[in-house]
Amino acid sequence: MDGLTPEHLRYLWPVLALIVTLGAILVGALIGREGSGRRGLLAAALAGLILAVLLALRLNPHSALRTPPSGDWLSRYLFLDPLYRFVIIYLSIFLGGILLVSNSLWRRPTWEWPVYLCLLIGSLIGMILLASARHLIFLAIAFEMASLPSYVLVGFRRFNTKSAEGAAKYVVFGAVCSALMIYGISLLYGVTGTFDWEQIVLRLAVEGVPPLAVAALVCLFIGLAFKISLAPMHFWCPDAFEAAGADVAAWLSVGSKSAALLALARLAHILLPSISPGIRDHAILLVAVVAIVTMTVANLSAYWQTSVKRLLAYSSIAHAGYIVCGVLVLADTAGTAAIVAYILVYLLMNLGAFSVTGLIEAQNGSDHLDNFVGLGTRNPRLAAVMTFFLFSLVGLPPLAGFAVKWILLSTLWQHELAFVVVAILANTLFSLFYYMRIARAMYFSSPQPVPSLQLDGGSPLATIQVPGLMVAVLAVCAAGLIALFLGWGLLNNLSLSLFAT
Amino acid sequence: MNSWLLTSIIFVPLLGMGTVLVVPPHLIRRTALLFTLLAFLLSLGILPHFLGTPIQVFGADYQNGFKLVDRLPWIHSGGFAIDYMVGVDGIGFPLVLLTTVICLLACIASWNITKSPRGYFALFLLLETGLLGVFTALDFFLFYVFWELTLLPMYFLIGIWGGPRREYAAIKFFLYTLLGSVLMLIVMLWFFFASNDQGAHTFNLIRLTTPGVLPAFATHKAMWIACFTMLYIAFAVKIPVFPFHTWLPDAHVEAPTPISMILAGLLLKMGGYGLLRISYPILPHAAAVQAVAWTLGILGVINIIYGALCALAQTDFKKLVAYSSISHMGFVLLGIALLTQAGFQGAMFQMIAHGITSAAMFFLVGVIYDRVHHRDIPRLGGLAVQMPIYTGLAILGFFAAMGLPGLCGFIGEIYVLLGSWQAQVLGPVGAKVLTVIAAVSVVLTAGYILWSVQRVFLGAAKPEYEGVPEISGREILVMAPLGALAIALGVLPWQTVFTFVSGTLDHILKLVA
Repeated sequence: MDGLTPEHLRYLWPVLALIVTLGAILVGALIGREGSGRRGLLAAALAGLILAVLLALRLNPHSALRTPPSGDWLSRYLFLDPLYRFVIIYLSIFLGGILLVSNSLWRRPTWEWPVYLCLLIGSLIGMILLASARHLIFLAIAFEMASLPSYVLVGFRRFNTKSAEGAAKYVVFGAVCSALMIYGISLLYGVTGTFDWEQIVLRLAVEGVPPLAVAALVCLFIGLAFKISLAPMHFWCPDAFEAAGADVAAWLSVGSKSAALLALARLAHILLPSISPGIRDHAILLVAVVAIVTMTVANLSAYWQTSVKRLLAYSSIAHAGYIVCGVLVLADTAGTAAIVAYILVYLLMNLGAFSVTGLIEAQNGSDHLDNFVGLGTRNPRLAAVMTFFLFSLVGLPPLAGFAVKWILLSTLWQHELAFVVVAILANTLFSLFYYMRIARAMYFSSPQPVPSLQLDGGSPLATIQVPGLMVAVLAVCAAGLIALFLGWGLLNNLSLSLFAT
Repeated sequence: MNSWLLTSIIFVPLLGMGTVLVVPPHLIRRTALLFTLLAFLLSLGILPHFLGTPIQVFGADYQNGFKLVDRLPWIHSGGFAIDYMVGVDGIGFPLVLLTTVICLLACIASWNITKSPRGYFALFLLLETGLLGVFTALDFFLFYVFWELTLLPMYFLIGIWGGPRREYAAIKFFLYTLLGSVLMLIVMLWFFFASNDQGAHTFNLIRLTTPGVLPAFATHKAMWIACFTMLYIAFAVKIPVFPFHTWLPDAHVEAPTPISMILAGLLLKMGGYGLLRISYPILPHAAAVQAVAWTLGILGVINIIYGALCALAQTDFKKLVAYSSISHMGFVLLGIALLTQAGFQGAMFQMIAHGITSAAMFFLVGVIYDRVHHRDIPRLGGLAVQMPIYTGLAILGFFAAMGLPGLCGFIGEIYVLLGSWQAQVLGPVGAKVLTVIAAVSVVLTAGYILWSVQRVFLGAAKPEYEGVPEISGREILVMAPLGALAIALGVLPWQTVFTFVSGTLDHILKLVA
């Protein structure tokens, strides 16, 4: 059964739709008049994303996490399970939100717009495949497909030296980590003679794990940890986010991190229960220590930031540290379900917070914390939704950030990982300080002109204008945070249902 | 089955918040007043359900004493069983009534707020919903949500409308309380996954008190001590008990007057209420351990004496009142810790009495501050000449706090002292020693109160306060009910408080014994 039957092809359709959209945008940009058609291209991109979502909704995958070896062409490369469908829907809808925000924040020449769209959609395809890869070569290719457009997106503001610096750091870091990962993959091939993850795990389970394989697995982990931005592979993140536009930062902070997180969760969930307990315990300890170090370092570093994008970058590193703890739960799929629930809500909070930051940056010329001063009086509604996002990021009820943290903590607690629970809670306490610095700037400090800031979009005292599409995005994010708190049972059911057998 | 009365009381202020956000600016105050008044009137509807002898009202044991229970399934997913469940018993109901009264009066006291009143009253009403929820929630998860819900509005109310050091005070308040919340969250996880209520885990605070629902806790002493300690810290931050008290003077001094009234009158009660609602009924074994009783008793006495000594040393009038709160709340802890009937009743009475007197004192200080724009006691003096009516009301309020017989402060303290004198849990002598030390505070309290009354009101009239306006009608409207309650509780303690609370308190005591 090596043929490409229509049944298998159905699973590729959403990705094919995205590739066609990408091509259509390129062609559209070529044949359109220069300097026009930004809206048309946006509509085309959104249509492509919606199409991908609709096609994904039509899929009806039944098995969870592990695909039974059916032997068909496509499932040798990808896990075609409900999580695959979820990733397509989740990331496509998220990118739709990002595009609306980008459109509102766009200050660059129109001819760059199609390039920008193509890069985003290209990285989307990479991320979808990364989250579902089963064949390790395929994993490496998907990893690069997600990374390369991201490097360019970070350096997109070409004439900004910070942008160049951030992009360069990102590229160097990424190159080293992906090289390590590919090295690990080749070692694994050397040990087991296969690239198929299920086969590799089977070999390692039966024949034991030689030291070389341990080194290889660690290399693989480092590659994914770079994408997730776990310490000490997190240094690129604040620089890259500061360099990038707020919309790109939002995309990377949620998109690429959650894709890599899901990939890690999937691989770990297949590997760890099968191998010998000694190695398993070491692996769990390694991930736990890395997670705890990540969240602690990030929360402590965030306190000193004055650039809000950097601050939110550290926040996203800390959250990556929290989320990755879901990988530690091996006994059942509840840990992975907790990850899914968390990234769903994390999307709303981060998209919201970065969008507000982007607005401030676009209209005040900088994302310095001082630009948030007096937002509570300059634009009370904008300040109020930002407060929602911040409190949700801290994880306080009645917002969904609390609900997902609770799901994660209770899953960890049930599986006797109480020390991780304590670490996460202690970090929640640390994190309060820096999130509240933004709230303090918005509400407590009285607005004063700040002459030291370079302004090109008006004075910091000016009222912030919120474009219509942005209002919609922010309203959906804020309302979603309350709705998903009140109805977090639905969220929990949804994430658990992805893994139901 | 659901009566919806408590639910309406809890959510009327939230509805008010929504309304305040949309009404035209000149109607904001009146809208807020309307909704706080509505909540108060509705809360009076609870009263008829508590008339009768304790056994009629509260049944034979703790678990049967809950009235007006509203229960709806909320989250039932993936093993979680969380209900929206509210109800009141003898300790919840007086605090609900206290909340609606103090919030109503604080709303009137807020009339002169001019800085963005829309935000102020919206947060104020949100805070009231949070408080009412805490005092009625019977599901641990719901309790936690309401507990946290009081945090956010209070943070902003101090931080935006507070005094010069408001930012520091607000974050300190937030951080201390969040520390407690985080520990409570761990206990919540622990209780939930350890509980076994007919094969399922439960958050139900009534079910959790039933023997056998926490099987692992029956045998593991370390477990109940650990949980009791974490819960204790969560509640001690709120009460506040030494050494977790340092947020309170800062928060009180910086908060605007009406918010200080709510902070002292209601937020501190969340701590004492938490001990009585969660720690003692669910972990009765821990409460009965002698070391626990010693620790809590000694901390209570430290609070009483230390708070009084600090109050004695203050020159800032508001700080003095803040430290007096620490001293008075020490009686609550002492009364609960030593496990006697009189002590429990005294502690509960003290919570209500302190709710009234502290709100009154903070309001009275606010009245002076509005007129002379400072709170420096040495610079004040002779106000009795310029403001005779105000002075009369103020002396009533301060004497009630001092514990003058016939006023409400006296009953709570004397019951606590009577209870601790008889306490058996610390052996024959221990409790008596603590009682004697605590009784010294009566002198200290009289000292700081009489001394400040003398320095502020008595003496020759000072020329700089010539023509200071007398207390206004609106301010009398706030102060008069508080004064009347202080007298009523002092003269008729049984009819106003003990008859409602004793049944539940006896049941809790029975669980511990």
